[in-house]
Amino acid sequence: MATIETNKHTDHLCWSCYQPTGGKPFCPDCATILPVPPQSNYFSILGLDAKRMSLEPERLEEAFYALSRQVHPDHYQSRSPKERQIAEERAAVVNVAYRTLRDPIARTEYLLELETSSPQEHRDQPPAELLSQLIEIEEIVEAYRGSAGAERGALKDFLKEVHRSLEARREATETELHEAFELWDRLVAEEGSEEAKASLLKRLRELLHHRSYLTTTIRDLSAALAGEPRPGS
Amino acid sequence: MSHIVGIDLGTTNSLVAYMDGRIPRVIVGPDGSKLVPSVISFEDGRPVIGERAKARRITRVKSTVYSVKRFMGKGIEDLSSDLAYLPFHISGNEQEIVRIKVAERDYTPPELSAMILRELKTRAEIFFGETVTKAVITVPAYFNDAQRQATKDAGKLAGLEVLRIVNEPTAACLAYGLQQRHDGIVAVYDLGGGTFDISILKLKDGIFEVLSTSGDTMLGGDDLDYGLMELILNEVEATGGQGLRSRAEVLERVRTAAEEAKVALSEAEETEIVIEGEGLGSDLDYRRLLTRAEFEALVGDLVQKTVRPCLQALEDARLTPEEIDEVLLVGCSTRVPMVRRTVAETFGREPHGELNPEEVVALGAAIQADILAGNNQELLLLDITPLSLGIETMGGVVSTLIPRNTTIPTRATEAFTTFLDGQVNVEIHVLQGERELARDCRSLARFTLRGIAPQPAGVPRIEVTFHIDANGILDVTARDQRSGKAQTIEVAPSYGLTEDEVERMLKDSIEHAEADLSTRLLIETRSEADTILNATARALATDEVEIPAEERSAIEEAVSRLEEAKAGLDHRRLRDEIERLNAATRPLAERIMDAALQAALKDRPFSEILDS
Ligand SMILES: Nc1ncnc2c1ncn2[C@@H]1O[C@H](COP(=O)(O)OP(=O)(O)OP(=O)(O)O)[C@@H](O)[C@H]1O
Ligand SMILES: [Mg+2]
Repeated sequence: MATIETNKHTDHLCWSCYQPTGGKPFCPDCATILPVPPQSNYFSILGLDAKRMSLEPERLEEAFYALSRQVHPDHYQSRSPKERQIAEERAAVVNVAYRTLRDPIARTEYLLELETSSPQEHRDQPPAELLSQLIEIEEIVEAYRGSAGAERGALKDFLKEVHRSLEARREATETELHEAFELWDRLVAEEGSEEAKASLLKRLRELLHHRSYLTTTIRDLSAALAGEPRPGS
Repeated sequence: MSHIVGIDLGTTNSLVAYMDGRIPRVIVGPDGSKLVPSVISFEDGRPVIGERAKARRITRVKSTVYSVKRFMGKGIEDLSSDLAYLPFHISGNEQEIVRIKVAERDYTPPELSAMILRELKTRAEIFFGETVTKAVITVPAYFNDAQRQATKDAGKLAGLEVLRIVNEPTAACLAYGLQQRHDGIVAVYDLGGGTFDISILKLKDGIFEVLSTSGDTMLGGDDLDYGLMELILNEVEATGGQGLRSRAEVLERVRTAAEEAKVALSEAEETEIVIEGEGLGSDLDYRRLLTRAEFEALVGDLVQKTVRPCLQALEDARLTPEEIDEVLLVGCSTRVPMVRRTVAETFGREPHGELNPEEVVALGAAIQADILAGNNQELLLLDITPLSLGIETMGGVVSTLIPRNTTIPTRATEAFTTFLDGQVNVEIHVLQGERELARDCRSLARFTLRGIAPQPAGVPRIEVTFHIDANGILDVTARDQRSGKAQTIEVAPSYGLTEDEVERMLKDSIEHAEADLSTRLLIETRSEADTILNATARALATDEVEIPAEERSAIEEAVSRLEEAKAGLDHRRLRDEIERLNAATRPLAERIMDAALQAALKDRPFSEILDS
């Protein structure tokens, strides 16, 4: 076997035959299923390039299905308890990884989590302009809830229009996210500067934030138009 | 490898299936039936299950129970509609396992379900001629953790190792997919006796990925029956009937009439309901013509209740009705024309009802059993958890750890700490459901982390991992983050049996050991019966000796009596009939032996005969 960097750490040795594993899901020597290495992330678990953000859903799905066929506990029913447990654990991690990465929002949140020590620290304010608009909309929603007759009809038409425009804005954030993903992938590939990365991460965080305000307002608005009480109250 | 069977443990009917090579088949019982009615009746203290128990529903009201699946994993507070219309007595404290009184004894739902499972196990054992100890059991996709756990407990109590709990619509889709063999998006609409499920699956190259599921575990044919019962009871009361609702026999008669009328209206435009006055404790018979339109007006709201979950499932899968390639109907309540219409309207297409809707689930369970046995590497089910899992945080708000429709197995880790200096225990309240407040969600269990080293508040860090396995069942482990030591957890299930209780029930149940023994005896006696039946057939075909007509007819009579006994499950009767046939054939057997001996003596030297 070619020289593999020997690592004294047991996580890099097969638990069954004690040969080096190179961080693969299966031992290259005895093909036994291996536990998820502690330093892995969702990208590496799905066999993707490190922190690659532009992902095609079809490719992702293919990777997910192929891995599931390999590690799903259904196929380990007649194996030893230890192998069964490892398969269960691997399958669980593969499932969580796929769920996270296939959704652009969850994927962004995950990248931010990997790149910044504590995501909680960066609770930026949404842009003042958006915030004041949203507050205004919430006021109209309140008025609509208490309205009747012709006034109600007019308010309803108006709110429907607002609903449409908010949806359009939310979709626009999605497009912006994808553009940012491409920029990010280029930065990673070309080993761009740390400042460039940091500012792009900040941009991503703002986009998510923006979006989450929009989502809450859209939810309230939909509930009001459907004649339901405010969600969560 | 011993057989792994697939079991559909239904509210109304149960089935057991197996793989005949590559083809799943339902096991036919000795009486020729595939369905085992999920009814239990006690006869001289012993449970009888199936058709025989069903026939006793009216005559032995106090000793008979059914629809037990509706009570699995439930508390008394969940059962209001059933309590009003079911003729048996159910008791229990809030948020605790319920007890059902039958034949003067209280049973928990898993104990009763275990009796049905045991009957299916026996069926399979007789069919295979050997013991069966492993099974895949199906549950409604929308079953929560407590209901799944209760099903697993029932399996254990029946002497079965439950290799997997599979969701019913998923199993149905597996059977369907195996047959159709084309990829696409399938919606499975399953309306049975007690439960409703909707699941949306993506089929691709042998992978069955469940995208979303929704449903109602208290909505099925039983509820349609209750609607009709209410109409009948009101009308009888209007003509002076008194105290009907507290009389078990009356309720049972009304229920039977209601169900019959419902079934009839699936084919006919109108039907006549007749309940004799005797059954109502009155001088007057109850007689009424019911049209399909009247029935639909009565149950329309119930049928409509299935629409919202369908829309929710579509939304969760991020699909529009147009993107669904096929809608599959499962469960016998989908025979109601209004149900079919509602499905067609909701999905904008005619649903697919060609598969036998009562068998597909069991067939799918058999296929899944085959996958688990390692016989099929091409197919793989990727199922999901139907309900969000969370923990109660400050102010009674639920913090979601695992959202609904997450592919299983899955896990989530959360760090816990203490709020008081020197605190050594932390309690974690785990909930399932979609609401924001803990009191609106389903309490699954309270876990207590014990033996935390006393430290200032907020210093200990206990890492708790919530793991949902491929059965959709939760398992919780905890680790002290500093020491890396596993932390003990004490679990108090909210609606279930503790492990100790299950163990004790297993030990306590004497019938259990007895039933096992009688199964084994039955299997052995059956194979003995086969041997003698074969030998008799050969003897009757012989031309070596003469068989007088009376002797022949006596033997033939004994043969048919034995064959009849073989179709039953009573090993004592089988033994008696074997003896009878033995006696009837003895003279003939002796004459054949004599003839053989004569022939041998003629052709072979004496010494050779002595040697042999
Ligand atoms: N022709 C019919 N028309 C209407 N309803 C019917 C018909 N045949 C059976 N049913 C009803 O279907 C129900 C039983 O369906 P099924 O056998 O699919 O349920 P199950 O699998 O036992 O229940 P579940 O899946 O809810 O646990 C009963 O309520 C029965 O009255
Ligand atoms: Mg069913």
